[in-house]
Amino acid sequence: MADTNIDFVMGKGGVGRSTTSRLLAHHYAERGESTIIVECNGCADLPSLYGKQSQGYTPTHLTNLISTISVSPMAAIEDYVVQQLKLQKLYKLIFDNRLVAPLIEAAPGLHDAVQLGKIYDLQISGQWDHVVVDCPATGHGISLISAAKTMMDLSRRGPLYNQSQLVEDVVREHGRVLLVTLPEELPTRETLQLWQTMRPDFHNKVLGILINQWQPVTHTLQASFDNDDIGQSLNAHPAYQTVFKLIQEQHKQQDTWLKWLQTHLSKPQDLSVLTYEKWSTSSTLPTLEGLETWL
Amino acid sequence: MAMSTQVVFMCGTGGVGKTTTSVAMAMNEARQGRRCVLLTIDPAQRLADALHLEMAGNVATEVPLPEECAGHLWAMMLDAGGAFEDFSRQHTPVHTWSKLSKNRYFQFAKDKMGGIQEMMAVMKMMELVDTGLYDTIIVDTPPAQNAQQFFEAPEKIQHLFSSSGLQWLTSKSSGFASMNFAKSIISKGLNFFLGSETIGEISDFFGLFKQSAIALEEMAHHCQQLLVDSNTQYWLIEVPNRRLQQLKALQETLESKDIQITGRLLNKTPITLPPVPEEFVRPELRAIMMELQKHHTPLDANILEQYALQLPISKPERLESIEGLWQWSSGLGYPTHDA
Repeated sequence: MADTNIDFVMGKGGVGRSTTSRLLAHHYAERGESTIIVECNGCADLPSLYGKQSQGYTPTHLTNLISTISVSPMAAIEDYVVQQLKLQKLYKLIFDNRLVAPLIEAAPGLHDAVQLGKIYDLQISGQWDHVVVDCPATGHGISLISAAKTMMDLSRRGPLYNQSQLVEDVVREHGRVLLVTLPEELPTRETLQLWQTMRPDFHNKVLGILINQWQPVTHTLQASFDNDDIGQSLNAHPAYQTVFKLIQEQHKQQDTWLKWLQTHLSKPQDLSVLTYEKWSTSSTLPTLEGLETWL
Repeated sequence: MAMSTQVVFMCGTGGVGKTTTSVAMAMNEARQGRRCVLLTIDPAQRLADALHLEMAGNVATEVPLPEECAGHLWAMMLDAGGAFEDFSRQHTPVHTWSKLSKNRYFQFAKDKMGGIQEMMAVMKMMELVDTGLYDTIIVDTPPAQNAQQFFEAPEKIQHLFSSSGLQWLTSKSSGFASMNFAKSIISKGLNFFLGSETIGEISDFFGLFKQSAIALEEMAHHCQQLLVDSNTQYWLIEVPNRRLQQLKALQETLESKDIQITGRLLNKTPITLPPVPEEFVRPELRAIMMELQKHHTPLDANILEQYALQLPISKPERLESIEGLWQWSSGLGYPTHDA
């Protein structure tokens, strides 16, 4: 079994899971280690950011050390069944059948299970030092990470059960979770809910919470926050004053929600909270103090 | 179908503020004297958080609005598993129900069957329409990617139950020899993957669920009609400077179903800052004004024009109370072209 880690990047929609996945991959690359980033549910947004064409279910090189793959449930099912039956024609007969296709579409938990199965394949192939999974949003991320367990509960014995067991074992041994959030109310509350609904045996897999889009307080801003006179003087420029108050409030909020998160986590000593500024495609990697100790 | 009820879908990628924007739209309806219900789907808790209300699943809870408001607003969070169970119980004879409720596959299907959550959302919405109690129903959809599954759900469910694939596979009837050959291979394949015990439970489920399935299929058909009805509105919510691939995919899904997008709504619209005055400004004041401009980039007028509705960027604290949301939502306006 390969030593490859599987990093599951989870969080609410729009908090920057994809950006964080890339951040991890670039971080590993700086250490000379290779990564494959997995996009789920047929998403294939990464290649274009690197000026590349997506090759879908075939790993695509983004840089020397970073690759990506777009996994969709249907491609993963075909892959799995063909692996099992060794016969492409038989797959067509069974799964393209107009009677069976809708059952496969609706089969409980199957979509997540086959995608997790593909992640397992990537892990055991040993081709990469890291597998980073850009998970679907919030609860869908939890369904994905628990998919093998769900299949085991459904099938209880037989080949599907045994294969799910293998996947579950690898996820337990090599899986790690990174929660991503924003320093605002709703994403922060949802991150805590995510933590609370996660299987308790996954709690020790959580490396930490990354707070994205943290607004740094510049020297000029801090000086103005501290000096009431400035706020007063802006009265003469209403639009500026509104924006000033808005930014001041944002800074207050981010401190508030960071503290809230820290006090509400059940085991704060097990979790680190890391903050980073907005990272755009063009700029260099943000320095993440403490990231090294996590990974 | 009570077509006097206006159904509005709020769509967009994650993090653009779909829930708060939906609240603003709903409050606006109430402000205009209408009876509006806001249904939120995934994850439902978000709405209760935003409104700071205690809410139970599948129950419309009235949101207290300022006295001067002529209309009414209710909020409802979807509990898909609960809705599916209620629906099944309602359409299953009592003696069958005791067996169905204990069927292991039913318990899985309740929470995990592909499309069930989405289907139940559309069904709850239909129920709200059918009560005739509301003028407007606003649906806060899941993030774009999952919203797509949501629009495809009724069709998917219809296929599932009308195909009767499993009944065919598990039935003993004989037909053409070639069909039997295919059937035996498929049965063997499914048995191999799932084990005969699970296949047995699944086929029991389909047997016990027969009557509910007929009702569900009918419901799916109605839902489909409502989704494509020309009176149904679809709003796309966006924020400045965001990649829009996922939205494009959703747009394509809607177009492929001949659904017209009603309009685009811009959330977090930046405030336009006039240029920093050349004179009469102290250096330290000038410094902060320059800094504010850097932090707060305005949008070009030609970009703004693409949006039929705009919501201003707001202090976050404002969005944490009903009063704050009420004030903020009054800024929901059509663009001014005086730029």
